[in-house]
Order: sequence, then C-alpha cells, then structure tokens
Amino acid sequence: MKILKRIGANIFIVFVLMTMIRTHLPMNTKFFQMIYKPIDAVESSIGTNQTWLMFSPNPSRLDAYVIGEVEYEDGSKDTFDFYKGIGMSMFDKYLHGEKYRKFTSENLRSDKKQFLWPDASKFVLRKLKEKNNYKLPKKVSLIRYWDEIPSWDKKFVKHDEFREQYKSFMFYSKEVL
Amino acid sequence: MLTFKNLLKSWNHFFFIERSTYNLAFFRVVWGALIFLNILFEVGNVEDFYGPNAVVSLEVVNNHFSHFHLSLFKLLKNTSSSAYAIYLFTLVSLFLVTIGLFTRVALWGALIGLVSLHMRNVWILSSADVLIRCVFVILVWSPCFNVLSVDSYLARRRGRPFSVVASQWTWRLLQIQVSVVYLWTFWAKIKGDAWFDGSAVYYATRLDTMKNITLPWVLDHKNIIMLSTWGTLIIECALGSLIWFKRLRTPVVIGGVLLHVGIEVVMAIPFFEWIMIALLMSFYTPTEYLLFYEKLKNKVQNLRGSKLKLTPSYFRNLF
Repeated sequence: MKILKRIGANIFIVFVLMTMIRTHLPMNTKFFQMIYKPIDAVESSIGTNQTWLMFSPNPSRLDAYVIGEVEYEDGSKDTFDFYKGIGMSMFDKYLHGEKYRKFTSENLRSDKKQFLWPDASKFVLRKLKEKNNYKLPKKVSLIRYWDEIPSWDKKFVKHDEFREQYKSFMFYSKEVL
Repeated sequence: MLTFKNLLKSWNHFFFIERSTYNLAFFRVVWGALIFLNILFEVGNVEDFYGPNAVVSLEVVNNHFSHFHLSLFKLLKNTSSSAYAIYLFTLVSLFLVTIGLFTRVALWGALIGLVSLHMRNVWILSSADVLIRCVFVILVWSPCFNVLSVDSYLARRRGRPFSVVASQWTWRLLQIQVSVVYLWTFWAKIKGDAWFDGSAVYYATRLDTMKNITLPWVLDHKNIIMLSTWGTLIIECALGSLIWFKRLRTPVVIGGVLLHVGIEVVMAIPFFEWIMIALLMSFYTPTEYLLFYEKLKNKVQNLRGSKLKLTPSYFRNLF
C-alpha cells in the first residue's frame, strides 16, 4: 500500500511540475503536443492553465470601462456603469468592483468577444428595470470609454490626477420594442 | 557524482522526507480563512455572476467551453436556487477546511465548488483565482489536517491520533508553485520596455479604474518610480530563486511582503496580495515557526520587565 501511495504521489508530482513548465515549452512540436494531450485535458477541465503574466510584458496603458444605456419610450435615458472602479471605495472594490472591471475593461469592450454583448445588454436592461419599472425600454446600447495613459516623457500624469476626458464609442445597440 | 541513483536519492529526500505537519496545518487555517472571505465577499453578486440572469448566460459558457469542464452547474437546473446552493456549498466547504472538520472531503468540496463557480464566469477572474485552484489541487492530497484541526482533536479523543509527521511532498509542491509564479512573471516582465526603462510602476499606478489610495508624495517622483519598478523585478526574481536558500529567506520574504502590501495600498487587486503573502509563509518549516514563536514569547516576557527599546538589534534578534 505504501509503495502504491509513493508511486501515485510521484505521478502527481510529475503532473504538477509539467503543468507549471508548459507555458515555456515549444508546444508547436509534435513531441510536446503528444505528451501534453492528457495533461491539457485535465488542466482545461479544472482551469489550472498557468501563465502568470501579471503586468507583463508591459503594464496596460489603456484605461477602459463600459457603460450600458437604455432609451425609454418616453424619450428618457438611464445608464448602468457596471460598477466602474473610478471613485469607488476600497471596500466596494473588494465586494464587486474589481470583478466588474475585469469583465468590462478586459473582456466586454473587446471586439473579439462579441459573444458577451447580447447577454450584457440584457443584464443592463434588468439592472435598470429595478429603477425604472414603470417605463418601457425602447433601445439598449453598450458604450465603451477609453483613454491611453500618455508617455511619462510627453505628459507626466500625477498620481492623484484623474482623467476627465475619455473617448467613447457605442459598440452595441439593439431595439427592444 | 551525478548519477541516476544520486538523483533519485535527492528527489526522494526533497519530496518524501517526513516532517512535522504543523506548517501545512497552519497554512490550511490561513488559506481556508482567506479564500472563505474571498467567496463571502461575493454574496451580493451571486445572481449577477452565476444566476440564470447573470451578466453571462450559462448557454454562452457552454458554447464557449465545449470541452469537458468540471462544473456543478451542469448537474443542476439553471435557476437562482442552484446558483445559491453551489455558492453555499463552496462557502461551507471552505469553512470546514479552515476549522479542519471532515477536512479531506471539505477540501475536495471546496475545489469542486470553486472550479464550478470560476468556470461559470471566467471573464471576471484574475490570476488570483487561477492560483487558488492550483493550490487547492495540491492541498487536497496533503496531510494538512493532522494537527490544528477538529479532525485531529476528535481522533485524539477516540484514542487513534493522527501522526504529527508525514511525507512533505505536498508542502514542497506548494513551495515550487509559489516560486514558479514569481519566476514566470519575472521572465515575462523583463521582455517589456517599461520594466526595463523603469516606467512600469508609473503606468500601472495611473490606471484610474484600478486606483486605491493615491500617494502623490511618493509616486510623483520619477526616481522613486524607477526604483520601485526595478525593485519589483529584483524582489520577484529573488522570490522565485533566492527564497530557497535558508540564510536569504527572511530578507527575501520581507521584501515580498513589502511589495505586496505596497501594491495592496495603491492598486485594487482584491485578495491577490494577501494570497501571495499567505503562500510565502509556506517557505518556513515547523521548527522555524516554533523558534519564531519562542523568540517572540521571550521578547514579550523580557519587555514586560523593561522599557521597550525598538533598536535595529531588537528586530534582528526577532527573526
């Protein structure tokens, strides 16, 4: 029994070590593709793909967020800001700010992730319905806002300075009525 | 001489030498509590992230991940009750892991619950969430409940106490995991211009959506920013390599803790910094924990009789 346990432990150790080094191996070769086929299957089933690219190779210079806008039949408009992190307290960021930031600024705003847009627009409708229950929605839109941090040689942005002007673009719109 | 026999001997010594399980148990308590809090903080978002009307529908998730992935959401109906049930199941499992009751089952429960929640909405996750899963995958096999747990207390009462010492391979894997995180991120960073010219910390701290506390008196000076950028690289490299040397461990860990506390103050990356600090603690052996505790106890006892003098030698002796 002890020997079996030791063999099992060794297999697991090798498996874990292989998952750790995968990202730096030439995976385009047949040899590695063959070796990693079963490992990849396990990894993708539990989501332990290890890349560890925090703030690398360079930190993002793009500050971005998304706002959902609903136009009602009476001509009025209301917006849902997906809890954008700007001006949010540290505690609120712990509660939900960062997860929404990740969702909007790194995923929802991207043209490559259009599959997220219809659900997000429905989500905006539901969120605003809580506030505007008596109004009939006519159109829902998703608008991305972005601004690039200027090079510190061109314009040094102070740490307590928040940008006032963001570029904006309506990237998704749907008639509801 | 480097022979296969010697290599095998070193491998066995490194992974399978028997050691006290106090450090693993201590880590389990801290880790369990931290991840419990992490999940508890999501209580207001269960519907929005995991419910049938969540910001991403289950249909989109299933279409996007057509391959097999572990998820309790596949077994249950797509309702709010299911989302809350899986959330609660994860939370209870994490609580049991922390106190060490039915620990092995609870560790598996926590892993399955966490993977289910994470796979339900991967677009809200960060590196911290991946790391949490990686650590649980190792921890589920560990004897982390042999001491400092309700299970060990009950076993003692039954007259069949768990062994305090056990093979240390899971502890070693945790250490390697921590090391790898720092080494890989260091490796990826040195390919970037901003880390090289010293401006990386400037750009990272200017993201309005990620700002926490603003420190203009520190982060408005180019020289300080450059030192912080290169300091980050040096500390991350050391945390991945020099941490393995006993003599250098404590200064390297102190550097790591300062780095993570610094990031926590200026940037909003909830729980990640605390998770990394908790993982760094896994580099200390049970003997070192006990020695530190004894030293601290003696210092406190000595200080009771004399006036507190916070001299450099006082801190040196503490570690």
